[in-house]
Amino acid sequence: MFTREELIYYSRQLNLPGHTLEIQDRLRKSKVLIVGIGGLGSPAAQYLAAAGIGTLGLIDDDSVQLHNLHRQILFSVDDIGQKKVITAKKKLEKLNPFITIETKDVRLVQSNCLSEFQPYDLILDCTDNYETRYMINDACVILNKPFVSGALFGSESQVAVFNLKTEPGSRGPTYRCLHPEAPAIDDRQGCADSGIIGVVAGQAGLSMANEAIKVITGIGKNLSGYLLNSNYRENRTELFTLEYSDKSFLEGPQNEEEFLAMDYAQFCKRIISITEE
Amino acid sequence: MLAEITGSAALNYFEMNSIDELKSKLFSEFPALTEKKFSIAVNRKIVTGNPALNNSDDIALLPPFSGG
Repeated sequence: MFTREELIYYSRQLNLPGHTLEIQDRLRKSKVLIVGIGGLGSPAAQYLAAAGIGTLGLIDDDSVQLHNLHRQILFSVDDIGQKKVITAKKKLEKLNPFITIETKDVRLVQSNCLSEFQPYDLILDCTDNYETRYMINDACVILNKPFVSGALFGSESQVAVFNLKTEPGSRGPTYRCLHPEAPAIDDRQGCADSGIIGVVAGQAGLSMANEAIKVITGIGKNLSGYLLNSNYRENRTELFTLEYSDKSFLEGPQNEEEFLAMDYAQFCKRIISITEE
Repeated sequence: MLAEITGSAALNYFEMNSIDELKSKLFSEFPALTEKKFSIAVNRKIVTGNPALNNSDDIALLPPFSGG
């Protein structure tokens, strides 16, 4: 069971109605992979570590840069030039010494995606481009794993839970059910292009972490079958319902062979441009 | 995101009987919209195809975001 120290560590959340030791054990037994330790991923990682996710995987091949710090507050000036996942692991282990942090200092690509995802129960898509988002969706569908999707634009965010099966025979919608067609070339908007302030990225990242906790514990209402759109400048939050679509689902690869044959850059009609994050 | 094209986050239209009719009107008024991809929600429900519209229906255009 839990050590005396762990019981003290988690004591405040164990006081929440319904948050029993069995629930905390579900968090401890879970394995969550965060793809992208940036504006969404770094706050999500902090709070998922603090909540007691037993195995937290971090995948990112970037190094910490000065212009990350205004929103990726896991890092500090001392970390500039260091690999994000290595630095994050050290800090998260100090935050919660009772969990395991696994780091992958690699770029997620088709050839490693399925094997990287396989050991985990839930994936967080904290990436910053459409090609990877479609790839993550397709990998999760093939591997039968749910994922939490978050995305930012200016002062707005979109958060949803995709590919979650709650009852036998029913499935939640996927990313392709929401966005069956890839956006136009000039809609590729990363944080550098559209601008972002830390509090917006932070809130969206925490919303994603909240969804992960709800999916794992089964407590509360998660965003499977919904899209949560938030405008942090206007204080406007809208919850849209979304249904699974066979048609959209079948447009994605149905097995590993088809997955490896996908050309996501072509699907998103990507043009090569150098943009900083 | 789309409000940059339409000039406003909220617009009112009258006598639109279906989504296709509304899209036609929007595309003719704002041609730049034709190049954008977006999902459509009617009264907070994301829809596909060409559902009929009623008076005072609330329509939302939802482009994908990618920032992370």
